[in-house]
Amino acid sequence: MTRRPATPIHNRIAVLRAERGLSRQELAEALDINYQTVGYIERGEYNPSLDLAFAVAAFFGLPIDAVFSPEPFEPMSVRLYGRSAGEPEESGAHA
Amino acid sequence: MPSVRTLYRSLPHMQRRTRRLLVLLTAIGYPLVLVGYATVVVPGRVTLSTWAPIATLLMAFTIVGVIALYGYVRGRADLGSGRLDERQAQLRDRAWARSYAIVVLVIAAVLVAVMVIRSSSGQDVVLSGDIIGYAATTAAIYLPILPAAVLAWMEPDVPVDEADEPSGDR
Repeated sequence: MTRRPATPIHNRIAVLRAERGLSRQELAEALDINYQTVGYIERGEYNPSLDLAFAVAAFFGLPIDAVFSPEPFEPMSVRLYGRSAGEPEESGAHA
Repeated sequence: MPSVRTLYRSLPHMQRRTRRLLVLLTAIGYPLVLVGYATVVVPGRVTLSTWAPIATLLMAFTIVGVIALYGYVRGRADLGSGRLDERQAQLRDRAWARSYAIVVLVIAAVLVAVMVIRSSSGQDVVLSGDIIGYAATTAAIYLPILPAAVLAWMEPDVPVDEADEPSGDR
């Protein structure tokens, strides 16, 4: 189980959990899984089954592709402000 | 001095290095008792009274190891356990598959050893009641614990930020 899955599935579970102030244990109880399994999924060390992936997405009230993706997710800062952290603002931003 | 209850409660949090050491001690304890008896007591190199405390210590490795491994795994290696989630069930199935491979390898190694002994000494290997008894005892000790031992060997350590969460059993 230390090996990473051959095809990593990226996910936003840690971010979504933090936004809602949920511990791994609380999420695990809601999904009827072990709390360590939440950690394994968050770290990309275990790919959940389709059943579990849909259950996670349903729990957060999001479409499954908002929670899981075969490609790395764009950081929230980039998505919200259109730039990476540390990148200077454009000169005309306040115009 | 921690109580037995405290020690038993701490077992599910054992680090992988400790678990692997326990698996090794469990695995070598009883076989070393048999090998030592056959190689030093039977030929008369060591008296039985000298060998007894050593054998007791070696047997204790196996007994303590078996108890500690069961204490760590807590039913997660049982085939009938319905309280495992999909990742735990997958890990358990891998532990059973590896256990099967280990048993096959051990049986094959024993058969090869018997053939080598027979061909090198030219003597027939007699399957006495004693040998059957030792083999049955070995099987009775190790076959039930094997999946739990393999699981304890395989499982990675829980990351530090998860260590304060509850133990592995739900």
